[in-house]
Amino acid sequence: MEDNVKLSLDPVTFEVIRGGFRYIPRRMFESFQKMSFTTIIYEIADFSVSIYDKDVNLIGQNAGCPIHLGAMSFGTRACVEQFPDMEEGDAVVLNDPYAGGTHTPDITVVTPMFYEGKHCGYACARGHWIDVGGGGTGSQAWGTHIASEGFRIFPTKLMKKGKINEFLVRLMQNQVRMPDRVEGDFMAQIGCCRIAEREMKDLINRLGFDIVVNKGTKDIVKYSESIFREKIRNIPDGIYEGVDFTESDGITGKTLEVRLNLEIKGDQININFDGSSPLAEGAINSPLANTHGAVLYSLCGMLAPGLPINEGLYRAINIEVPEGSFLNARWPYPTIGSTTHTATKIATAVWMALNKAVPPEKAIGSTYGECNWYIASINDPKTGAPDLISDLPSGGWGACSTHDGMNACNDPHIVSALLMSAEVAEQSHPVHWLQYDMRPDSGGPGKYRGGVGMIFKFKPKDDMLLSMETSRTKIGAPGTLGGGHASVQYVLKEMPDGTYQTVMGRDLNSPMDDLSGWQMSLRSDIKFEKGTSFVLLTGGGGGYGDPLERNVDMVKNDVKQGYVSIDGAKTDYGVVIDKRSLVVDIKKTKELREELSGSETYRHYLQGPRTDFMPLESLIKNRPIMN
Amino acid sequence: MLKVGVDVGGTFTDTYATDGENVWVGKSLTTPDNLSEGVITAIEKSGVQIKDIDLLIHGSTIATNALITKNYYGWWPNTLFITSEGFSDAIEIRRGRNQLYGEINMYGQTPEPLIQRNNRFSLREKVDSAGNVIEEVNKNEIENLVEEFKKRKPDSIAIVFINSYLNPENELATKKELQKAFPDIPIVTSVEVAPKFRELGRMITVSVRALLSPIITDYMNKIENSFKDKAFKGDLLVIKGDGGTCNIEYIKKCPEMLIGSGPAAGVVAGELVGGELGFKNILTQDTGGTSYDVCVIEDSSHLRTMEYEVGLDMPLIVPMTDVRSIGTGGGSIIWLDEGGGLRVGPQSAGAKPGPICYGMGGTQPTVTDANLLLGRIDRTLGGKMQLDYDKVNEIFKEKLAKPLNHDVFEVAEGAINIACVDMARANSLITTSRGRDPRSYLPVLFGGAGGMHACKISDEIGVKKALIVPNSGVASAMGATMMPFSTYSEKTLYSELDQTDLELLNSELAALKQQVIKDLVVQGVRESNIETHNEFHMRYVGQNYEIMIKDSNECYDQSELQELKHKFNEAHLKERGINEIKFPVAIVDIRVMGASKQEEVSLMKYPRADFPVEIALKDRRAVYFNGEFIDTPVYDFEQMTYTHEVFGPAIIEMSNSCLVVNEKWSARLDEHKNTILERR
Repeated sequence: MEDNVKLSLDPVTFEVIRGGFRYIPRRMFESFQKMSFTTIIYEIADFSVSIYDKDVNLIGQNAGCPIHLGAMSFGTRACVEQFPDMEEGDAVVLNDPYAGGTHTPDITVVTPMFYEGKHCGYACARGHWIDVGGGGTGSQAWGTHIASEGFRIFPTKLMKKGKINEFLVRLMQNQVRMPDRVEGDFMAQIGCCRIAEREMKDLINRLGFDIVVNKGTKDIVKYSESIFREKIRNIPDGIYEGVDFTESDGITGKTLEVRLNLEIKGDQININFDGSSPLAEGAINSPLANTHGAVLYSLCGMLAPGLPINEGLYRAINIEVPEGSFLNARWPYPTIGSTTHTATKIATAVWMALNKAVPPEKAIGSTYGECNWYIASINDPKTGAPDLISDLPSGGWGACSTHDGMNACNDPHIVSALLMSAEVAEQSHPVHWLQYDMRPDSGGPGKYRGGVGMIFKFKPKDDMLLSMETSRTKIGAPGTLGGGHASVQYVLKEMPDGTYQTVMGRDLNSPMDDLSGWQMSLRSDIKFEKGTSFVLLTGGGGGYGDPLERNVDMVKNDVKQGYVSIDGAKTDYGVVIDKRSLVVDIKKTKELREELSGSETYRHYLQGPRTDFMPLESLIKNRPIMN
Repeated sequence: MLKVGVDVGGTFTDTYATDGENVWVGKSLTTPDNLSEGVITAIEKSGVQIKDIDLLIHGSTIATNALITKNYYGWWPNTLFITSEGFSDAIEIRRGRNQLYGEINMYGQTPEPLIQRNNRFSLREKVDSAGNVIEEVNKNEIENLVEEFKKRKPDSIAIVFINSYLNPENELATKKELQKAFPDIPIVTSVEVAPKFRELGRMITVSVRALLSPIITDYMNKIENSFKDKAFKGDLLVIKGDGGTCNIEYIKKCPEMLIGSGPAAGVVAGELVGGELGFKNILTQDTGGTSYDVCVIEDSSHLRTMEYEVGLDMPLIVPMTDVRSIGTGGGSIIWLDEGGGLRVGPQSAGAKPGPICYGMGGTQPTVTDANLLLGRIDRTLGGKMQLDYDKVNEIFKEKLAKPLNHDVFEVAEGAINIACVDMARANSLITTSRGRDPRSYLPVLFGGAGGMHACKISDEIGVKKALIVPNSGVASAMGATMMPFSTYSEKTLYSELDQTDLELLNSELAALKQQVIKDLVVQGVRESNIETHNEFHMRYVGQNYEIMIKDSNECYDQSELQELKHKFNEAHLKERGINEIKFPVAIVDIRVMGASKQEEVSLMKYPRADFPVEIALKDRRAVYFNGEFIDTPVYDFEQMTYTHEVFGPAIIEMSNSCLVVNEKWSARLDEHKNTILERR
């Protein structure tokens, strides 16, 4: 512990406040989810909540999607700048990507908190609305202008002294594809901010106004900052490079690079994105708020897991993004893909840079580094109206020095979001939910294996238009310290005759070194005719360390449990296992591992694109289903 | 009729026997390797002959422990799992998350799946969202599965298909075929467990039942046999996690109901003791060495939850007493985090090595050690053992006081206050968080550490009165003898209130009620002695989370539905802080709860004091309160009786614990020797 950390409160009061600032956002989160009327909030949890002090410093948060966190502070500040004198019962709404928002569907509501007439801070709830209008389903238009992505609200009063702005509500209802959800979602967002105020009052009643509002808020920030800085100080000074890339911008097919230099200097981290690609024609431009958010969550998860996330962390990080970079979006460049797509590439670049800085036992393989956000519009045979469905199918996490990566688990970007339940999907939407399995061999090989991805499939009951953002179709997520890349992702259309068409990314049947049939992995309104199914094979996480050092019994168990196939064990790990008896041939294994360990081809293979060993027919559950 | 209640605790096994006139109380060390041995010893020590017992009721932690450790005396069943094609990994993927609150840990792990991947199988079949069988299970496929299973030698099989809650045909057909091939092992379908919406809950619950079936059957057989060896001729009942009892045959069929049995006994005891004293709204508080469990009693019945999880996103969809548990207790470790924050728990020193002062190798400061430093615990534990005060002082100084630049006693009192705030916050989670004002509830405290912190916790909650039950183990055992038989039956029946098919609703309710009555009658409850009520899980149309509405109509027409809607709107405002009466409302699940009528409660009575409380004053010592040592009287609880009252600061020492009466509080004994704490 550092001697120079001086908290103004005594340890006991501080601990009570620390707990309080954790508890308040949890209450908000729970109430938002339970009150909501759209599956993307209540079932997927694509939303986050936070509280701020009077000067708009973040003091507590609870995130379905940690990406919202860094970005929400920008949004709240923009609202407060516009309305510095908010009164009790006011609420301000915003979604403008250039004024503190990220992408248009993320709607932010900010309310002031008062205690006996005295201002004591702000509460904020950001939720991903199923649709905010524009040129594509769910506003996922893949146009070249922000106007194609639906309405854009500059900070605007949604509620004044408890009275809702009917004009604004109706205006919004007129722009969107599911107007009946607007009122309910606003109710949930405002309601949960009210709960924050109620809980804040309770805390103040307990401890006193000055202690909570003036001293407590400062101490909690100081506390996180000091711990975080101590973690940074323990890393050797230096400049570490991290790179990742998006496979296209959805328009031109050009690869865009995220390139960053991460400098550790004493107890400060400086990150600059010099050398990253310029503004893109397609909608993967990341607003500054989003770029900051991605850096924040990727650093925290690796350097200070479990630390209360608040303003203190930002103080130890300095981020510079050059003007004109696609990571510093400006009007009228479209941004719909900034969150689930671009931000995950920023995160992987940060991890790759940190891996060079931290000791080997702290290095990690990348997660699948994608959120696979799709949104589809299906004509509902019951109502005759289009129904929108959206979900974020998971992939694997990277391995670390003590254990394998997590299988089929949400990316850190959306870490507390939820996968859709099959029965909820079928009850709420016109679909047959058909597969939800793990995908063998998709984890990056390593001494510790990356987690495996999943095989996801559903069949719409009528014609469907699907918009989707994905990536990792050219090469899977990277490993670390000799660990291999995860498998590439596939996005397919299953035809009524049981054959498959590629709708994004690689051609299914072409070898790994052939990208000739590759299609852009960011597309809107792909048509799925009635009778076809949507199939997604998600990637795993990157491996940790040399796969030839993986314990033979662990490889054997992976084969027994089906996380790795017999062919995978041989090719990726040099372990020879008999197909029928599942007995390891120790002699052959020893020989093969010796041979592979000196093989350039093998090393090259690990660092290149990998795919499934098992035939697709055995992976995808393919059977006729009547509509 | 001689009834015996048994509470098997972590350390002690308590028994309470009564024939309606006399009471026998026993206490014995718990014997983890052979639980029935400890039970028999405790009963016999109390002077009761096993052969004379008519009814024996006991709680058991066996199910919870086996599931946590995946171990039952060195064995774990080979349970196979069958689901719809395409979903055999859903039980492992769960909801695809490893964090609830958006905290990222790049080195994180997900919970172990209940059933390993190579024990999970799937069959082609499909029921659609309207309950139509689109594809029947294929007999050939089942035959192939049987061949494979024969090689695997299963101990039990779990079957759960997507949408089976709407139509169980495929599940039942599969079970029928498999049962032919495996007539002697439990084969469980999800619709038998709970025909309810959302597959994950059914997957987890049916797996838990399949895993526990062979274990609980074996365990119950052993208990029965060891009692038979002692010429036991009576009936044996067990306490379920929902706070009711059932017979052995029933629990063998529904072993998942045994989960949470331990805490449930305490809750019901609190409900009964509080109720006897005329309190309908109670917060039961069980403060043990490693955890603190709270539960709300409202209108004389405890709240139940359907949200219990055996691991993150692993919901067990059976009704349980809504016990919130946090890892704060006497053994909680006090530590400094990297940012210089003073923290208490959730790590615990446990029974071994235990607190520093017990001298059993503990080197981490604990809450119990802090109480010793402040003089709240006697340094000799009432002459039973010498506690190591100097070592505690030394370690507190070095690990906590010096780095914080405070004195040892300030730190110790601060740590206790933090623990108390944590415990009070657990109460907020079940009261204020759910629209209830804790000040209209009476905290009833049990457990060793309860009395030590009762005043402080009450101050933090904001209540002015609390009750301490004298001997909590015995109270739980006593509660066991008075618990009703209980059961329930439920199903998902989605209907929007403005389109409800009344005939269907009424006939389904009647069928559920028949099932409940049958389940109770089979266990020997007279039909005239059964009480039932209905529970509707409701939400606004378009929402996805329900609120439970209790109701007791026999039959529903439009006006009763409107009444339900009104109740729902009220509850939504109370629990979620906001409502909108213009939104349409839907019923999602219906459930009928049934129980035998509550028996009379008779607590032991003590005579009025005919001597002053000063007779019970056994000592005075310096005890630390609010930053200073105060010369404080110490009373002997054994010598105190009805009407005695002491004023804080004071200490009342009991045989296994002590009660700290803070300044501004008083402690008065009622005729049952419960201690009533009151803030003055």
